[in-house]
Amino acid sequence: MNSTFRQSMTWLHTWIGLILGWVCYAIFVTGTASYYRPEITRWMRPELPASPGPIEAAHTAVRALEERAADASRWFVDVPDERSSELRLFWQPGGGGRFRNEVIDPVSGAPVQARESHGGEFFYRFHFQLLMPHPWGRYTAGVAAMVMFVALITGVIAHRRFFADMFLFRPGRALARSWLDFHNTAGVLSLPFFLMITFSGLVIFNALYLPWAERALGGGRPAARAAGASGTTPAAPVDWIAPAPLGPMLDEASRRWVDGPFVRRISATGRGTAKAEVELTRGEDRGVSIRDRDRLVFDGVTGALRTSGRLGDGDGPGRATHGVLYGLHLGRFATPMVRALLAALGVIGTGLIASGLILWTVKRRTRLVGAARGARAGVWLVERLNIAAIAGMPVAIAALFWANRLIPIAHEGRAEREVLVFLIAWGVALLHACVRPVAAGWREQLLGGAALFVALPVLDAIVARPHLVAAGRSGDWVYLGFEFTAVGVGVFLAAASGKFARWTAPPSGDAMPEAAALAHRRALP
Amino acid sequence: MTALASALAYSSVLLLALGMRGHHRTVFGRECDARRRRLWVSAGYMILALALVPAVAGHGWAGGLVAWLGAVTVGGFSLTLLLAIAPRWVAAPAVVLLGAVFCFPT
Repeated sequence: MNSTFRQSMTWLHTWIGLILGWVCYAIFVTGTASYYRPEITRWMRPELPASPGPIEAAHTAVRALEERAADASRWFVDVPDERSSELRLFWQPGGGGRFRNEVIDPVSGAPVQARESHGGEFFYRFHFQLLMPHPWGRYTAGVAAMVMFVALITGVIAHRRFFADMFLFRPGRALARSWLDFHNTAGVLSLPFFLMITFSGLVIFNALYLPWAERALGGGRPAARAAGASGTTPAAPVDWIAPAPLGPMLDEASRRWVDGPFVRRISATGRGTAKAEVELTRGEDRGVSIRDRDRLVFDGVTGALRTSGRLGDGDGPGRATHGVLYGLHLGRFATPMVRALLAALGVIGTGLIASGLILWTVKRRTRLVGAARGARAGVWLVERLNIAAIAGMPVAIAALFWANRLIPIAHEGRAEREVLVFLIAWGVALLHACVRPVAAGWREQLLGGAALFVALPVLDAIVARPHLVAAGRSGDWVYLGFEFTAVGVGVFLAAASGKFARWTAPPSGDAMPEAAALAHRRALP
Repeated sequence: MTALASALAYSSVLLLALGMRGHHRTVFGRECDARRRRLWVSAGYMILALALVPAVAGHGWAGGLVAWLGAVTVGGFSLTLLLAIAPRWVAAPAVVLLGAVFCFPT
């Protein structure tokens, strides 16, 4: 079947890319959005009060916990940083039991009455869980990452003119040639990013994908981790030993951490016992690794400082490497400009996958004249799935944002309702793609997505006017930036809608004239 | 620092492209002999390495390498699109980015 190594690699690249291409596309879209997780949450939950700064927020959190959970055995607080404004408390009531959590106002400490919504968390979770029950989403994402990795390597081998065709894109040429140019350029230029992002994505869940090493090694660490994670639910202590107040510990942190981020997470464990401990973990600074963060550990009874150092102190090379790769993948170390670069790389990656999927159909379409039924059915199916995935997903995401603004704020279970709207919109896109001719399918879905995105600020001005006005008055560039980005995405989709109809399908639907098909085929490499 | 790194990264991929026969012809409308092309390419590699300096100065080694690779990739991709759509404007991003560096030196 295949005579040379390169041909067999091309074959593998073609088919492995097709099988999970749609999943990879969805993962790339949501992953790119996840770079702006807090910013998306800011827009989707506009009622969340602005944070007065992490120091004040942390003190408010501690006061609130002392009021409503003084007898809890464990406290955790997510302190907002400069990008987020959500102050969330978790506590485990004394005597064990389920964790409770509450989002509070970082100034007054009162519970926040904000609309229920997953916000940016939706994209983040979708990116590696794909809305599937645990752990199947993570397994699927892992398989997709593995496939992507294989596709990258075979793609490099299949590419005949890796250096000679650098920076080359010829949109005026035959369809397959133009798409191949685009696919090659996107792939070659961002190869380092793709290798990094797929490999680090695989490594993040290495314990889930390859659990045997840890099991075989046994030892203390997994057991200790299990105890820390699920908790040796402590029985209500007979004699409650009063824990030290957290306020002075926060003061100690603000004396030490003057420049850069403040406390990001507070955790108080073993409260009421002699083993009580308080840990303050600092927000991500410049270090790439997620373990490269300062922390302070206090004795929970006396309030004395026990250790101060980095989170990753004492990590072996394995953990240290894992921390760096994890940090690289999350990109939390990035300054706003570097984050913009990373997001641009995400967009290019999305384009790479989309162009690969389209290329598969464009190459085969021209050979359909007189082809077997099976080949026709295959191309028909892939073309439909391409439309529903590539053009349909933006429609579904826009629908999610519309649902966020249109579902009544007090609606029971509205966060899940938003997700349902997302899924319904995507399903409608798939149905629409199946019943419409290819060119019309592309054009209408891209235009639909464009209209929904461009009209988002208009919708916001109508149904959420006070938030928009307040954002404009206070110069809230996160909120306004979301609106500008939505319009930008809409304009891009509108521009694409005109081209895609021409670029993805031959002029007259399925019945391409024999002569045109021949001319077309000759133009192929 | 990221802006300066981006400006240098874009300039470097532009020089590298101008050292390639096809792209050189697209931009200047005439051929360029092999010796001259090598000059363009060497200049390109030099600026490419130079772009690493502000990136690492601004973000440390680990973050700097990420910023540098990102700037080179996004620069190369923008250049590809410009070469295809508006080859007369290939120098514009470099000018704009360098201008931004001088106007807002942070």
